[in-house]
Amino acid sequence: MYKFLLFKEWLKIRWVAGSGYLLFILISLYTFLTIRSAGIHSGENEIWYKFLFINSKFYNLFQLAPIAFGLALAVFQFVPELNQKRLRLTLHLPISQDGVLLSMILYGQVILWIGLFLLFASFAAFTSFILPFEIVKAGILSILPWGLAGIFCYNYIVIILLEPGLTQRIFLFTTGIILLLFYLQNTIMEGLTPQIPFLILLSIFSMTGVVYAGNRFSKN
Amino acid sequence: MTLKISRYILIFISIISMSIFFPKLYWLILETPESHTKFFYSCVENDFVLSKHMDKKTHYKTSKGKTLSKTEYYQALPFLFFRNLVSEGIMPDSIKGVKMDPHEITMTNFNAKLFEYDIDAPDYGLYPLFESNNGISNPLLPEDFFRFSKHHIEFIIAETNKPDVMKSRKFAEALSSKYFMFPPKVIAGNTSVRKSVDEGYFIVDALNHFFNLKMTNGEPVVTIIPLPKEVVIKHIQCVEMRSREFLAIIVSEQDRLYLLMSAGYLLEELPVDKYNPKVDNLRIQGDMFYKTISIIGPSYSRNTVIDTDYELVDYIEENWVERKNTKKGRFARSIFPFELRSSKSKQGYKRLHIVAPTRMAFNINFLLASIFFIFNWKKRRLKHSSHPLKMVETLLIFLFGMYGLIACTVLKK
Repeated sequence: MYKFLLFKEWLKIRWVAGSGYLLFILISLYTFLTIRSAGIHSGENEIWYKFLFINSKFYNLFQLAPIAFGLALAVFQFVPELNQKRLRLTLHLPISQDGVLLSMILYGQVILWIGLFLLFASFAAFTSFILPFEIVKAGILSILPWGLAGIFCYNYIVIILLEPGLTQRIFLFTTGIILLLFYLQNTIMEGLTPQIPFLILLSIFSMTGVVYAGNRFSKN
Repeated sequence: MTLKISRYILIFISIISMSIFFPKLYWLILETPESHTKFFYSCVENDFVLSKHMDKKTHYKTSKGKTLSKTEYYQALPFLFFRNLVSEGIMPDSIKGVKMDPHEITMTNFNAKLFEYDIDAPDYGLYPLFESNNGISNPLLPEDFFRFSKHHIEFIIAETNKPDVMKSRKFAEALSSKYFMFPPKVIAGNTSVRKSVDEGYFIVDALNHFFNLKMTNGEPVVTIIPLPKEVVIKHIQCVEMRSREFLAIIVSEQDRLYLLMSAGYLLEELPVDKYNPKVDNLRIQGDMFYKTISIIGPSYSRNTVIDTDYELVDYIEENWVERKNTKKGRFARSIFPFELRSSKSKQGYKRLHIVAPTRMAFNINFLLASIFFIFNWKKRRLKHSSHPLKMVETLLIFLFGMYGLIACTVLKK
């Protein structure tokens, strides 16, 4: 049964997932080309110096991409189900309701994590040609909170979409936005590194909220 | 069970969100800017002169209480306001019997800083080594950057992103010949390209020995810097000053402050007793006669004056109530069970901080939890015998006060 469910999920989000992956690779490529072009014009040593000591954020294009991906994924995965009232049918299948919901959101999570892996891998692969390990590592550590923001955003959008109560929706939207801004704090390269464990836990645990919202949805 | 856990996790995440937002909103509405006194030592008055912005006006006086006009204040600090005094034509010809020479004043004036975020900041592990014998021009940015690994030093050519094997070997041999033990613990240098002279890098090796590494005419120059036995270096902050009297501010593991003097690379301990690098900002402002060492912490400003021989001349301190201990702060810590916030600094690591509540907050939490419990107990007794007592929610409200109450009430079963 789960196999068919996951196949259904794949049919719904394959285009969004593909577009997201392509977007991540294109941003990595664009970042690489921009750095390369700047290096040709003003010298690679100048570029390295700017990244290391003048806090020039060469990775800024990545800031909103994972959030946009998470948002699109949640909308494309759940809005058609909710609009066409298919989710209610799915939740009444002779398998655990929580299991269905968790498998759906886990599927989305896997797609997102693969996207993030692709993002970091393509970023590292492209930039390693022209940047040393230290700058690439610092760049990845700076992008990581934004990637986690994409996962958190996906989880919260799914919870808000499933939640039937207006008050709860507003409350979850407000608390979610506050936490999302916490992922996007303005800082220097690697500045948010001490908070990464906290942000990882927040992203992972926020996933469980879907069981709560899903149960309320099925009862309503 | 899964549903219950899922709900409690969502409640907990909402509590975290509220603990960030509510105190921030509170301070956004109620915070009034605080003005602290600025202290400078006057070589004219032989006393501290103070300036403080109050009631939309800046007040000037000496530490003994003598009120000064703005012009008198400027005249009391002839080195700090040297240009203003010269343009007004009131710069004295001599002070303490020393003839005033604009060039000498510019050379001896300096302002060195060490902020808490300088110490708690990421070190990317890649540094440019400038040519120190570059004549009168500013140092040129080198084509390569160096890194330290566990067993060697490596120069990476930026253009090719590949190591310069010959140069790396030459520098590694130069370091090893001086018994340098890899990997280093502390590396510090002035990486600015606007500096007048390059002093290379000051490095503490794996055995806490202190070195200076320079490149002169393309060749490595490694100097061992003798350290007093009790000094173990924790942080080095290189400074740029025209007189080159000292090259860096050093913080030891015991949180003692030292200056690394140009002459003979000797360490001069500063007569400062209490310095906490985690919260204090240090500023050393100097002129021809005195140096004022100011340590500004969350609730104090400690100012020590030393003369050209580094002997203690004067000391003054001001204490104020820290924001969290003011009336507004205590009220906030009473109504909010805790505050989660990130470091304000945009230049160092951003760490999470939890502002602890007062005892009153626990009382309020207890009160809220009791009301919640009684409400549910009455409901169970009077209306429905199946109504749950909501013990976990009561516990959450007892622990997280108003955050818990809001979250538990909104996120119903």
